[in-house]
Amino acid sequence: MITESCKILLLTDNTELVELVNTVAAQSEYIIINANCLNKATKLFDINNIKMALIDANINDFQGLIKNIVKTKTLLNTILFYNEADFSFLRKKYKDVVDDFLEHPVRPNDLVVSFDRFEKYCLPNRSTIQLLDNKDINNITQDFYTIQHDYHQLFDSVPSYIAVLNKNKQITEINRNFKKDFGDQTGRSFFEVLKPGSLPVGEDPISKVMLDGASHQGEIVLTSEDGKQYNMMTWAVPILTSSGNIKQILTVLADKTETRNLKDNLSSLGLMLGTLSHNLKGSLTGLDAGLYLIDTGFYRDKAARIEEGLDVSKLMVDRIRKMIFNVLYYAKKRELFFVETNIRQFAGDVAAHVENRILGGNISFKCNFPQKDIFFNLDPDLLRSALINILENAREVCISDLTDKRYEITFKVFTDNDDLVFEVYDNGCGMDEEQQKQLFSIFSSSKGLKGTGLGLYITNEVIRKHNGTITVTSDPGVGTCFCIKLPNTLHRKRQ
Amino acid sequence: MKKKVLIIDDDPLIVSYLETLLDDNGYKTATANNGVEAEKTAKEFLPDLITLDLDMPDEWGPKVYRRLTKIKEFKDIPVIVISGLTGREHSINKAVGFFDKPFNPDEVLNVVKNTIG
Repeated sequence: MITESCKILLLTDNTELVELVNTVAAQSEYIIINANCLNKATKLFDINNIKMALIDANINDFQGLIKNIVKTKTLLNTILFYNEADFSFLRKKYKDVVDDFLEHPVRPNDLVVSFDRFEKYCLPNRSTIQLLDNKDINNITQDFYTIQHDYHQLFDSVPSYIAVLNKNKQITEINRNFKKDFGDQTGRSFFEVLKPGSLPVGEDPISKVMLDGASHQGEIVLTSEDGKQYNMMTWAVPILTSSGNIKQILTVLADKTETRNLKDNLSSLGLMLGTLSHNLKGSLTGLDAGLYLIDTGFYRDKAARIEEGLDVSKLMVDRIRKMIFNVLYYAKKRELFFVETNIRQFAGDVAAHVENRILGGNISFKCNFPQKDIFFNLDPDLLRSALINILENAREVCISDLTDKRYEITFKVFTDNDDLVFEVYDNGCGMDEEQQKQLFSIFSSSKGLKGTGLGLYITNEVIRKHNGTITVTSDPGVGTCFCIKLPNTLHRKRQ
Repeated sequence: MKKKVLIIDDDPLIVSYLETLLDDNGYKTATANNGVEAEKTAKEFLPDLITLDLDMPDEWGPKVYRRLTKIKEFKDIPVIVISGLTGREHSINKAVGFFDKPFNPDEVLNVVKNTIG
């Protein structure tokens, strides 16, 4: 039904456009009032109750009609037809006044969509501006504050970290969790606060959002300013303006560090069990060998064979014991318990523990300890285990070496600028560069040393916990030297 | 004439064990700790049967076997796999026996006897 509220003013001299608009309008029974120049359009605008204006930017002084609309403060739906070359300028100038921009040549479907939007303004109730009284304003204000409060509550109560970034990736807003763990960082660049580590530039979800305006997610490792690393599952979502440009980026981060650590620990455990199982089998076979030698030695009355069998069996039992102890240590790591220790006595203790076994392997054992008593704060039980591990490794290397030479192990303890130094040297088969690199990796077990692969890893951990260092120098065919240095700071603390 | 067995394993203790076991039961033995040594020793020793470990640090056991069987004299040489690895029974299709470590020495001897006498 044709009513007063359905009048549309068309300002154009483009006959094709006139025909198109009239055809589309006819489907919805709108009345099109045509004007081919500004003067005519102004007159028609004044006398008719126009609800929609279609303005062709190719008409001279078309701006006059827009000014008129703005001046009269008419609630009017306005569409501007433009040429492509003029779009940026026209959009910038009239975006707050014009509701829709359609490019020449106008497509019928685009016009239909615009008219559909217009239809909402065509309803009788929307054709007038309703003035609000104070009560209404108060109610609306109250509603606004309630919504704002609910939004902030939700924002702050989310268990993840939330940061809102501007287009320069600077933090504009953060939730309570983010502030609690990373501080109030508003105004700072996001990647200054949380460094992305080795991720290639532009590969993180936030940068990808800036690139294509779409939402992105991914796991990234971020390092906080205090050096702590976080495995974060990150969702980045663009917040757009009404014209579709990125205004801000909403970033939600979920901390997966603990899950990742658990996963790594489970993998390590699986690997350890596999290695342990494989090496235990080898040691049990060795034990079988020893028992076979003993058994057949008795049967064939060969004393030498019995003796060999006993030696082999003892060696295998030792290996198995060591494997189990290392596993137990790995399973039940404990904190260090520092005690003021007489180093001369301590070193003597360690040497006594391994001396018989070393000498029994036909290996010469030399010790070189401080002449006088010196004291150091350390955990004697753990450090003793670490040193015994290295000495027994040296022994095994010498026993397993197939070259025919006189083997020797030297154990030296001394101070160097008040640091405490332990050195274990053997002239066994030595190690190549590759073996040296892997030496302290968990589950690394060099050729000829059958174990859990945990021994040197645990030794390294003990030294590290003492804030010390352990270094290895080795020459294949010549020998190996392990050097442990414990820093002076421990000693100073006692004083 | 004694039958000859080449023992290939990187663990000197296992090698010594098998050597003693087979020597005690009337076999002549030679040993090798890795693939290169195995090829060299095999050409000199000309074994009738091989015992082979799979998990050797220098070279994977089946690779050693493939290398040996490319030599005309050892094209059809019987092999017994002795390894701590799981899945060993899929490692070498033509193997006459697969034994887990620790192995039962009587069972190993049985297979050796049934294969080469």
